[in-house]
Amino acid sequence: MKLAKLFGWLPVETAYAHCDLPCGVYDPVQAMVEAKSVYAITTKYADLSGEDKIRAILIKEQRAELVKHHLWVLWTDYFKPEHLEAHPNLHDLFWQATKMAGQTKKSVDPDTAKKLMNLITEIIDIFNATRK
Amino acid sequence: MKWPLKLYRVNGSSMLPTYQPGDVLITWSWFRPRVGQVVISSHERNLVKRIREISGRAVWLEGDNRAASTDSRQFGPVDVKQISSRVVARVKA
Repeated sequence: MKLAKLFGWLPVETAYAHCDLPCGVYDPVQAMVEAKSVYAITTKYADLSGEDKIRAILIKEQRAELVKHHLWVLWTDYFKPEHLEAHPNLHDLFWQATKMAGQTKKSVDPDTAKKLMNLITEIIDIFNATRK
Repeated sequence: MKWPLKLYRVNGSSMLPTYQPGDVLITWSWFRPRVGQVVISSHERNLVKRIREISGRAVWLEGDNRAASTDSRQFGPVDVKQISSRVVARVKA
């Protein structure tokens, strides 16, 4: 029997030694999935008509907003000062990516959505480097 | 007067490799906080972190496992009165 279990009958409180969220739940792939959705809508938009066009625009705006949300969570909660030291372009990259997500809201150009995906790919590369 | 000895069980991995989840910490509350000590900070919940810096009443806490720790880097320094006890021994999980 482990010695620590002997303390089971004593009053033992919990001392928390963790992140507010377990780091395993962070994943930039969430942002990429939403960006791909934005891209897919822009490639189909021209062939749509009537209400489908309006619906496509609304969904595209929602997905673009989700991209921003997922990126902000990573930026503010996952990345730490030591990550910024190792990747000095991190702040600029997030700024560009969230700005580009805003651009995709007012554009139906697939190239804009592609640029957003490329920026998220760069963030994924940095994220993966911090997990090694 | 409060009994100075108190036991805590570690939940989480922000104090790795020093303490692992499930370890029982034996703490003592009659002490003066010093840089380098591992302490229990009791506010809304009990946190176990290491003192990195003290400036007047402001105490800067960080986890030993910096990549997986929410600490003063996010919530800023804590008031010295929040530091309730100091870890004096550990029983491994």
